[in-house]
Amino acid sequence: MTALRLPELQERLRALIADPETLAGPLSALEAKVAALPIRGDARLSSAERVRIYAAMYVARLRDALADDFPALRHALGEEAFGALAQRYVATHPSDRPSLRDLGRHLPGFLRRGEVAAVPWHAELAQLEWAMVGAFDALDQRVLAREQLGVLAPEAWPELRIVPVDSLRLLALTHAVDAVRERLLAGHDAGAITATRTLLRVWRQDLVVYVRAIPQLEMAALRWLHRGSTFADLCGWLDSVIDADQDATHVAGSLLARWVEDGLLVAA
Amino acid sequence: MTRHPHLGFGIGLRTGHFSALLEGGTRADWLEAISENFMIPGGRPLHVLERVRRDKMLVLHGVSLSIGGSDPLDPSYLRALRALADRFAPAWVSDHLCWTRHDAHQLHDLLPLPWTEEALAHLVPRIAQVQDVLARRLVLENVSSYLAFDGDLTEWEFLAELTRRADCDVLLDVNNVYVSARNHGFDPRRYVDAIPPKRVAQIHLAGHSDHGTHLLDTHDAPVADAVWELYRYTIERLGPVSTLVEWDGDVPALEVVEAEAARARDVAAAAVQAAHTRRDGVAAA
Repeated sequence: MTALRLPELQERLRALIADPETLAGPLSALEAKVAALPIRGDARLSSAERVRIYAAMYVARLRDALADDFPALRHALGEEAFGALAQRYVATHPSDRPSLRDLGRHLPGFLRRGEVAAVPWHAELAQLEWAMVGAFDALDQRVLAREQLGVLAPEAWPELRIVPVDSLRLLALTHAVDAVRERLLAGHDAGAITATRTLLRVWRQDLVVYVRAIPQLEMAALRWLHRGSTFADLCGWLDSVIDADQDATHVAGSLLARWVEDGLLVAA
Repeated sequence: MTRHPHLGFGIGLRTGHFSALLEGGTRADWLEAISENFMIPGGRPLHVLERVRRDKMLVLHGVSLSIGGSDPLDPSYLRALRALADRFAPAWVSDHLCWTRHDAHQLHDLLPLPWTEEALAHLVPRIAQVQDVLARRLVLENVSSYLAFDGDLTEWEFLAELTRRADCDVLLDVNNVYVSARNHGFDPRRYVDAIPPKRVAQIHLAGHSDHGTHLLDTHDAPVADAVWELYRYTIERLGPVSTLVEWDGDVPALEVVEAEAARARDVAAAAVQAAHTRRDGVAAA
């Protein structure tokens, strides 16, 4: 008969499975802890060894989930260092959601805060890869098509709503980690990486996630856009930030054409 | 005999097969989708699920319900599962007889329960709650286990009694029965014999790995010969049951998984024939 009530039994087993010491510490120490639990052992495997099977699977499963979402970071660090990072990370940020899809959401910040030894661009590479995860399964939306603009009456242009798709992520970084990521995933070393201001937009078009470096003005414009902004609003804002010899309407038109081409705007 | 429709022989829907499925569909009769992988706003996974659902029947199979956990059931999770079921109209919705979460910590593993009266009493109202939200009978799968607790019942006695008290159904994972039997030293046929046939909605088959002291339910290999034999025994006893092959690690080409499902079709056909022959022989005698 099990002496412990179900909640206490589950709490004790949870703690043992998630404790790195269960795998790293001596078996005798684990056996002392497991002795208080009504777990059956036999000649093949003691009860402590059986708990270790679950502890090993716990670490492996979470490491594999992070490796799926951060493949370039894994390449950059190598298997051993990535495994150590995963173990430290899940000890600090244990999963609290039903899907492993959400496990990595704190990893860029974890690296940025220097909670493990990492070079500065590792956090930015993780930030880029996490943005790609978010774009991958963001909401499906009907996007504004070039043909719709072609038939727009001149008097309707000022009120044209300009709303970015939900998959859009904007990243202002200090290293060109988009290029680093491509090199790593192609099987090359990261190479020499120097600090360089890098502005990226990440978005999904036709089920494919794209990453593109963009100029400062476009980054600022995309950040400025908010739900309900119109083409007239955009022109007015641009007029306040661009040089006096530039035509705001022309610049807005160029940006709009680019965004429509990339499927970056929601159809009204 | 099961009271559930016979869907035929299916395969698990896996990311690595998305492109092949979009290009050429599948020879498998039906597909099983991991529920949590599709509780997302949009994108390619949902696009693929929509596409395959046009041609094939679907079952939703969850891994994070934590029906045996001590934490309250997660209402937002249940709502998301209901929405998914409403959208894709699966033949049924399944999860595992286990716990996966405690004190809001998701372990993402299928942890065993003690086979006790306390656990039975704990599960019955929780299953009722899930069935109320889903407006359908829940199908629960036996898990592979590597440890067992002292308890009042055997696992098979527990599962049979649970189906009676909670009015839920069973996804009988034949590989899991075999793995647990080896790991705990019981006769897997006793397990199969104890499950009420009408409750069995579905069967799972998968590969495992042998670590000497124990078997691990790794889903990264072909179905083992001993599991095929136990499957044959199970079908002889239960009659035709919807069967699905799972393959999650080192996932091979779609054709390889389809071939395992085709083998299940052949094994099941032979088992049904053998059962008929034996019955006819008994009747003639």
